[in-house]
Amino acid sequence: MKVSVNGNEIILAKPLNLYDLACFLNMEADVFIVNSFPKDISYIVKENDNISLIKKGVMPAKEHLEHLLCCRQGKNITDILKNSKVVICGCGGLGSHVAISLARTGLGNIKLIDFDVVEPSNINRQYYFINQIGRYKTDALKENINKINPYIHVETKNVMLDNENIINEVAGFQVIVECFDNTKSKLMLMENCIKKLPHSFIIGASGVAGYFDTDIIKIKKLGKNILIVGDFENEASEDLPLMAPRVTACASIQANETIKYLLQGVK
Amino acid sequence: MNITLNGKTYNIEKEDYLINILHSLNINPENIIAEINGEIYTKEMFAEKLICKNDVVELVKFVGGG
Repeated sequence: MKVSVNGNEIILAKPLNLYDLACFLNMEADVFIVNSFPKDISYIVKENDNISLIKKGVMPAKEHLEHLLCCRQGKNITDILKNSKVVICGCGGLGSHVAISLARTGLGNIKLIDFDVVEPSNINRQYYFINQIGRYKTDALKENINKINPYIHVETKNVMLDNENIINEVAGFQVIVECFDNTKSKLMLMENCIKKLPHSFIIGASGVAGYFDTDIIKIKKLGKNILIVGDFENEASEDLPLMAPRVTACASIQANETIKYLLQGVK
Repeated sequence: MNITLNGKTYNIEKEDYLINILHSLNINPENIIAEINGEIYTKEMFAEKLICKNDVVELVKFVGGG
């Protein structure tokens, strides 16, 4: 019978439990994941099982790492996400967290667009570190993504998006995630894409400031291909600060909608 | 005649352009994109889009912060 262990195909003469399988392969393990879910060592493997054997406290061999990073998601989902392409417009509070969340899922191709550098007032809500102050956000975020998953292909573009360049920068991606801070840029992206890329799938945000209940955050649809996440009223201002929990909550919803779209039809 | 706007029913006198309906309801059209019966309308189309009986209008307002 054929099974996969840490990403490699193995032929077994007879069914074994996970303990015997690890002994047979001369591997030490104390975490056993079968088809994305942890199992007890007494579990008897079945044909086509996708098995991950993990030894806590030990850095896995390089050739197993990519498989192990996403083994809780299962092979189907992981393969689709690895071949997906998403562009993130704006790498602030929303964009940096959307990028990190997608990186953890192993989303294979991420383009980051932002013109700005990391500065101290970003740190309260954006996924950067103090030692990254002064660097381009795109470069710093690429570094953070690849610390989480080095197999993700990250393309960066240090540019201010406008009516002239936006279509060129975002065309060809399965999902466009609008993560700008200011209203003008949000509308610029929406209006251009509605006119010139009417079939692109876009996930934007509106109303993420303050520390109001997260249950007033909604997802509104515009036509078939556009989703907007937020409460649609709480605009950032001197009375209404942008803070990590709510901005991150909206970013997580944007990332989840991205995954939902890419995995349509997957069982 | 009745229309539905952001999930609520409104009674309006007669067919009218979206921009006029927004003004009559004291809704600022700035920073809004509308969906009318599933189709998207950006702000510059509001003055030309006639709203008719039973139309379903959703307004999405964009505010800053991210």
